[in-house]
Amino acid sequence: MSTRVRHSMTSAVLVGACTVLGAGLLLAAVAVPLVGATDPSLPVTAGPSAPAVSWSTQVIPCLKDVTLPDGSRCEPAADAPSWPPGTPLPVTMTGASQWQLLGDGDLTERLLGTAPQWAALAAVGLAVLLLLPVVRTWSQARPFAPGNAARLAAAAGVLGLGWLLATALPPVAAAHRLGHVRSWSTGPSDPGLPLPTGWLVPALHPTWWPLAFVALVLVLALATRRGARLAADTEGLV
Amino acid sequence: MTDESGRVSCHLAGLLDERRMTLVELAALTGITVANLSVLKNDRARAIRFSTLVAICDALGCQPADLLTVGPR
Repeated sequence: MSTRVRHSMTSAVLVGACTVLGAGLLLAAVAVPLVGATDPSLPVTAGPSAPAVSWSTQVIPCLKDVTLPDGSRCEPAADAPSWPPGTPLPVTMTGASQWQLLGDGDLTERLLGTAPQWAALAAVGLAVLLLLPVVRTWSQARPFAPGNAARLAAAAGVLGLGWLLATALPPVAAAHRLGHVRSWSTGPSDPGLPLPTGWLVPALHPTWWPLAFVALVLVLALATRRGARLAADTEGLV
Repeated sequence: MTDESGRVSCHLAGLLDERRMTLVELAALTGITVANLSVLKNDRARAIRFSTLVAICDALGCQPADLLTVGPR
């Protein structure tokens, strides 16, 4: 088998694998909010008018005349007649001051709340598909082929947009959910009490490491653009 | 900057004909690849190294002006 045939087979296999990977990631991105395989992320934090809280496994607001499950009292206690004393807030803790709202939401909340998953999958899938011609030229030892720099820049843009959506949409979902949050109901006839205004507010918890990948692809785009210019300068040189 | 390399004509074919020489023979004399000499002969070159120019002129006993001319705008 000649070297050229071997190279073209390697190129075809590589491009095929990337196509399957990109399409698979895009399909997974569509499936995430619809199938409901992951819980939506609804980040919140204590609002300006929130009382002090006691927390170990649950977040319990410090209200007057309330004894905590371990028998202690927490201070300073606030007067909040609209919230059942001793009732934990409907959140789980993901960090000291990072909480996630609990409960199943509507489709909008699922769509916005699962943005970190589907936006990441969609951005990576789209970037992989965008870079297919680049992968093809790389495997043919033509890294500075026309269009490669633009495609790399577009891939960096797609990844950056994915990060922006993954970061910005969960707080929007949390804001949407906060309008409907009520205390746990004791039965079908008890709808629960509404969460006092200002106790919880949407929180922004950006994850910064994906931006390193965006920067890396951007640097690769700039290097490819410069390389393409150098290649054009030496093209036709004898 | 516009590419003005199209105005440069190479007369390698005529010089070779006058000397009854082939590209392969010139390649052997100069150490320049046949592919590069072919690019030069067919006016597809956009730039030429001084070393290439000197090697061809030495082999053909000519001056650079005999090999290359610049056409009108």
